[in-house]
Amino acid sequence: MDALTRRFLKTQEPVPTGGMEKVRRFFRFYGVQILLFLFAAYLLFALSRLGISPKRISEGFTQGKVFLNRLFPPDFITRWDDIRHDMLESLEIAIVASIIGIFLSLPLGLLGARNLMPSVVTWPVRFFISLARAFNPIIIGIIFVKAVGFGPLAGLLTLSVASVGFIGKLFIEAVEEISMKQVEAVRASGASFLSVIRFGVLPQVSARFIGFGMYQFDSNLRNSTTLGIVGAGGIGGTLFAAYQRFDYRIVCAIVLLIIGLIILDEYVSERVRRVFQ
Amino acid sequence: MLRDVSLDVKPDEILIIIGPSGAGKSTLMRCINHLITPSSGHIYFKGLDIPSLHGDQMRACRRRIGMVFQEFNLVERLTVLENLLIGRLGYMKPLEAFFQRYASEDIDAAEALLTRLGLREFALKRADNLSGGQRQRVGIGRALMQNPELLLADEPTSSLDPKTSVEVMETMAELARERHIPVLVNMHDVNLARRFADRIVGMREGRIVFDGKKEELTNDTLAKIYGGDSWMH
Repeated sequence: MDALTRRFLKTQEPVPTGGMEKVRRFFRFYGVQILLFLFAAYLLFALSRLGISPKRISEGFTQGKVFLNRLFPPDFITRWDDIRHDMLESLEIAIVASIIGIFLSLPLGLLGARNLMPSVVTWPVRFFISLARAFNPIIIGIIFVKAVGFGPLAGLLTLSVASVGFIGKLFIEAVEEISMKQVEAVRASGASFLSVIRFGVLPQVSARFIGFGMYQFDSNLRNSTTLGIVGAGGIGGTLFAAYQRFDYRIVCAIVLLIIGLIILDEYVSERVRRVFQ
Repeated sequence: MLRDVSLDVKPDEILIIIGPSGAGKSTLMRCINHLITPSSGHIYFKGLDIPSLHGDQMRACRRRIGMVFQEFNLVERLTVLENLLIGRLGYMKPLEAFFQRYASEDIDAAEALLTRLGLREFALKRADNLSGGQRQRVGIGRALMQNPELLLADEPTSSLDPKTSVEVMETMAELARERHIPVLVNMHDVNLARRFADRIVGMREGRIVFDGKKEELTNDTLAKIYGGDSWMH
């Protein structure tokens, strides 16, 4: 019984009788403090195990300063052809994978919605979508690189699967939140099932679908810049290679371009979302 | 929950069902256009036994029965015109409907009906911009676009203020009489029922406890329908 409940009911905390009662009373009063103490203790323990110490951190900052000095000025010129080709490849992977993901998610979103479909249909669809979401894109990327070889095809497949995993789930949730009254009215007019979906369901979810699609594109664009690390195409490969050759000025150029691309994307997707509100 | 309900609606008649919440009025309506299937019993409509219909036959039957809803149930993000044309979907081929290839006559009919309902200027506005009374007019328009042979109205005025309620009921009664469509209405409001009904049916706990002309509806029968009479004074 917490303090407010006690005051409302105008009852006193019962005086403890017997050993167990005393223990229970102790935890009721100090339970939160004990938990906080244990949490702090674990934090210190974990830090010590990871070998993190003030000395290590200060050394790291000195190293970081050296590294930062070697990043500038950025070198766009030496490997410009590779950089340009791979940046465009990342963008293409993100765009195509988003479109494939959205088109696959549309029917899956409707088939997985429990307010429209019987559970024999929703179950397998939901399972498939969960599976697509279960792994980080890098892990899916490794699998696809093994399956279809190095290059952008692996990246495209990876991000398509990742897109289905996320927007499929968001679409299902959007469809499950619609007003069934509007759907019922369309049904009552004698409309076919397809018409019920087209006029009763889709108008209620289309704006949200576009929003989700844009979010997924944002996410795909970020992921398409890292997939190259596992050989699945895009700028990540060149970036990783530059790191390993200690070409830090090229690394800097690529990082600046990625930042520029993401800022541009934020701006565009914000505009698109506003139009479809 | 409906028990032993037996009711036949005569052509050109406005029949109003009154009764307390949970009496089964809405259930009865939804059985009639097969939005729900009764566990047993028959509902005949122009020689068709509605509960036994499936698939295309059921949809072909539904389009002959217009329905007006308590909360209007307009598709909020479609325009008023598109909402009216929902009434035509049952008559269209699936792909025609999908790409909104409505017949010109249907669009003209929708325009004429909107003018009649005083909503011509709202035709291209989204339905969520309308007030309650206007929305219910759109709801009536949508049902009439089906060219129905029966109109069902499930508490059409319960979400409206008293003045708008009367106006909406007047519009509905007028348009239905012009087209010789029998109307079956559910409502709580006894005075409104007296004003518009040709015949009144009282329901309580899934049974019909009164069926007669509005003049025959006495305080005693009302007490039987709603239970007790303290609320009348």
